[in-house]
Amino acid sequence: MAADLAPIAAVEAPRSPWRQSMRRFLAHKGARIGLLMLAAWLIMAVGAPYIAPYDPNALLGKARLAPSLANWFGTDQLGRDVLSRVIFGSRISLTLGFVSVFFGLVPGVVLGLAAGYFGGWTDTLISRFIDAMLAFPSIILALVIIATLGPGIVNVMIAVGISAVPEYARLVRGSVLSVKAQPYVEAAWLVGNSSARIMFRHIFANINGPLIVFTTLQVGNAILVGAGLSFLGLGAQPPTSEWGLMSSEGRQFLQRAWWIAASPGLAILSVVVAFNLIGDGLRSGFDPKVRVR
Amino acid sequence: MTDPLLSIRNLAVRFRGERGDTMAVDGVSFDLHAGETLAIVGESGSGKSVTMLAVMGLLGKAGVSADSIFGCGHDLLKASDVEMRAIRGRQIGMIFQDPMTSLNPVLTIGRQLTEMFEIHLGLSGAASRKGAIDLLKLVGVPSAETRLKDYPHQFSGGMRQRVMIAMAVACKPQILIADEPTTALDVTIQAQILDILSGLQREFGMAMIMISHDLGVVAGIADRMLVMHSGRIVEQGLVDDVFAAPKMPYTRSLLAAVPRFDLETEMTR
Amino acid sequence: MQRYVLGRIVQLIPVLLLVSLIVFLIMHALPGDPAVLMLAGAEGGMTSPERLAELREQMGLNDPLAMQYWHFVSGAVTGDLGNSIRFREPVLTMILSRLDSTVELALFGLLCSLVIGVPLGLLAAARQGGWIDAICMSLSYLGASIPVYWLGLVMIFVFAFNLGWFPASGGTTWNSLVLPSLSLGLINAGLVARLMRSSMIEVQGEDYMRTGRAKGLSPGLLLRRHGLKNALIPVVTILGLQFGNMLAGTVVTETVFSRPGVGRLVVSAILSKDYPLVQGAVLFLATVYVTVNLIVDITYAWLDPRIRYGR
Repeated sequence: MAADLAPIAAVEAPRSPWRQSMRRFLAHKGARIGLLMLAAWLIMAVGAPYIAPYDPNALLGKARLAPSLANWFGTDQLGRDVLSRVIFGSRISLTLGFVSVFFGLVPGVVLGLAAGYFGGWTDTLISRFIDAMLAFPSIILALVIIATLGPGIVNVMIAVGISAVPEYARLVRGSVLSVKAQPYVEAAWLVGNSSARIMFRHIFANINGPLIVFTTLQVGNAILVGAGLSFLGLGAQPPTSEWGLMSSEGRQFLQRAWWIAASPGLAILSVVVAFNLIGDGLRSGFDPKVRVR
Repeated sequence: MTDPLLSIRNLAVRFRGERGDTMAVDGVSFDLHAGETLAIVGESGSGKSVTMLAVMGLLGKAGVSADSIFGCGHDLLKASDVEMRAIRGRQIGMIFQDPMTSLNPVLTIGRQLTEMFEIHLGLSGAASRKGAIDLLKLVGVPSAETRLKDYPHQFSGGMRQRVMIAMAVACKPQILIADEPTTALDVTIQAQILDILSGLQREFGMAMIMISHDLGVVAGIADRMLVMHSGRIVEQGLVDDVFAAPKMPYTRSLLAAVPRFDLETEMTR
Repeated sequence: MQRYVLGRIVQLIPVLLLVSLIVFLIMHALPGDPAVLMLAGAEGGMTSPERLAELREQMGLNDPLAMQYWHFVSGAVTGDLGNSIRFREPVLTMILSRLDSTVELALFGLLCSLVIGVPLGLLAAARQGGWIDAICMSLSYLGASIPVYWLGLVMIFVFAFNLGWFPASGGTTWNSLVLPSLSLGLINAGLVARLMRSSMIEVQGEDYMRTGRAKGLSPGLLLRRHGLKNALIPVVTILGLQFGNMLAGTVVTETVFSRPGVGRLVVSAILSKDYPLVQGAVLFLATVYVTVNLIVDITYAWLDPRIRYGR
C-alpha cells in the first residue's frame, strides 16, 4: 500500500569524495585568500588594456620618476609607467605559468603512467631517465634547454615546462604503483575488467588529488623560474614588459630608482603566494590527515 | 578493608570531532587495591585505554573531568604537571600495546632504561647502568650487558615487550598499567609475557591493571574485572563470578563469543 | 651497510652516463648549424665559408653523432671538457678557478637556511598557533614565492646602499658573502622551517613520545633527547636536495651580486653561445650535485641506526 511507503524523512545524499574535498578546500582560510588574489590577477591580466592607466610602451617624457599620484609605481628608465607595465606583465607571466605546466604535465603523466602500469623494462628505463633528469639542480635543466633553443619567452615556457617532466613522472608513477598494489585493482581485474578500463577508472581517480595539488604549485614555480630566466636575459627580450626583465633593467638604477626593479618583484610575489596558498588548501582538502595550518 | 590504592569517581572524557563531540568515557568509577590485578575488558572503542590514559594525565587537561581521582596517596585530578611527572614512571608505570612503535628507534635501549634511574632515582653512570642490566636480567633478556648498546629494531617482538616492561617497573612502582601488552605478539610469546608480569607483580608487590579484549588473558591473570562498552562500565566483579554468571546481556555475548571446550555446545555434541 | 654504500656508488655510473647523454643530446639537437650559431655569437657574425668549415672540422661536427658523444664522454672522464670558444681556454680550468666561490656561496647559504629554519620550525611546533608559528608559516610561504634575484636586489638596496653594512658585489671577502648567502638561505629557510615544524608535530604524536611521557620525562628532556633526532631525519634526508637548490640559486645570485662563480659562467656562456663551455659546466654541476646527494645518503644511512645496524 502506498501509505506504507511513508516518506522517510530527509535521507542524506551520499557525500561524494569530490564534494568533501572541495568543501574542506574552501574551508581553508589561506585557500580563500589565494583564490581572491588569483582572481584579482586574472582580472588584471584579462582586462589589462582597460585597467592600466597608460600604454605600457608609451614614453611619458619623464624618466625615473618616483611613485606619485600620477604614476603609482613611478616611471622607469625610459619614462614608461611602471604600474601599467606591471599590469601588462601579468599576461605574460600567467600565460607562462599555465602553458609551461602543460608542457610538463602531458609528457610527465604519460611517462609516469607507462612506467607504473607496465613495470619491467619500461619502468626501469623510464625511471633511470627520470633519475638522470633529476640529477640537474632545478633551474639548470631549464638553462640547458634554453641554451639550445635560444632566448625568448616561448622557449622559456618550453624549457620550464620540460624541466618539470621528471617530477610529474615520478609523482604519477608513485601514485600508480601504490594504487596497483591495492587489492581492489586486482579484484577489478579478476572480475573481468579490461586493463585499460582498470587503469583509467581506478588508478586515474586516485592520482587526481596529488596531481592537481602539484600542478597548482608548479604553476607558481614556473612563473618564478621563468622570471628568473628572463632576469638573466634568457627569456623575454626588450621592450616586453615582463616582470623578470623589468627587474633586470631596473637593476642599474637600484640606488636611485628602486621602484623600477622592486614593483615587478612584488607582483610575482603576490601571484606565486596565491598559487601556493591555493595549492596548500587543495592539499588539505584532498587529504584530511594532512593538516596544513 | 584497607583504603584503595587507586580510586576513580565519575571519570568522563570528551573528544572533539569534525561533526561534534563524542564521550569516549562516560561516568566510570572503580577502585584498585594494593596487590590485586584488575582487568578492564571490552571491544575496540569501548574506552578502556582512554580511561587509564586520562588517569595518568596523558590526555592533557582538556576534555577530562571527574568527581575525584586519587592514586598512591595523591590527588591525580588536581595535581600539577610537575607532580604528575614525578608520579608517572615512579609510582605508576605503564606499558603499551606495540613495543616496536612504543620504543624510540634512534636511542639504544640502554639509554631508554638508564634514564628511568636518572630521572626518578637520581642515579647516574655506573649505578644506573647496573640497574639497567639487572632489570634486563629480571625480565629474561639474555646477554644483558651487550644488549644495552642495541637498538629496538634489533630485538624480536617478545624481547621488545620485555624491555618495555623493564622500563615500566624500573622504579618499582605501586601500580603497573598494561594496555593490551600481548595483543601484538605471537600466541606462544603471550604466555611468557604474562608470566613475567605475574612474577614481577609478586616480587614487587604491585597492583596491576590489565587492559585487554582477550578474555583468555583475563581469565588467566586477573582477580577482578570491569566490562566496558561505549565508555561505560557495564559489569564488574570477581573474574570467577563474572565468568560463571554474567549478569548483563553484553557480558554474556562477549563470553559467548569465545570458543570454549569445557562446556558442551552445539559443536562438541 | 657496506653493501648499501657499494650499491649506491655503482648506481651512480649509469645515472652519470645518462646525464652526460642528456646534456649532449640537448646541446646537439639544435635546429640549425652549431658552427654558425657559435661563430655568430663569438666572432660578431662575420664569417667566411672557410672559417665555418674549419670550425666544423675543429669541433668534430662532421663526425657521426655517436662518435661526437664518445669523444665528449671519454674526454670528460679524463678531465678534458673541451675548450671555450670565446676564451679559448680549457673548460675545466675555467670551472675550477671559479668553483670555490660557488661552493662557498652554496655552503653558506645552506648553513644560513639551517640555522634560521631548524630553530624556527621547532619553536613553531612547540607553540602551534602562536606568533612564532605565524612567522614560520609566513616565512615558508614567502620563501617559496620570492624570486631569488629580487630578494638579492632588496638585500642590496637595504643593507648595502642604505645601511652600508655590507658590500653590494665582489667575491673575495667574508663580508661579501653575507648578503648573497642570506638571500639564498632565507628562501630555503622557509622550506626547512616548515619541514621541521611538520616533522616535529608528527614526532610528538608518535607512540614512543607517549611512552616517554608515561615514564615521567619533562617536556624539555623529552623533546631534546627523544624528539629532536627523529624530527631532524626528514630535514637531513633532503639535505642533498637543498644543496642542489643552493647550486641552482647561485646561477642567479652570482649575477645579482657580481660574484665570479660557475653559475654566472654558465649564464654568460649561454648568452655568448659558447656551447662547449655550457656543456662542460652543466655536466660538472650535475656531477657535483649527484655526488653530494650520494654523500648525504650515505651519511644519513650511517646516522640512522635502523639502516646502519639493520639486517
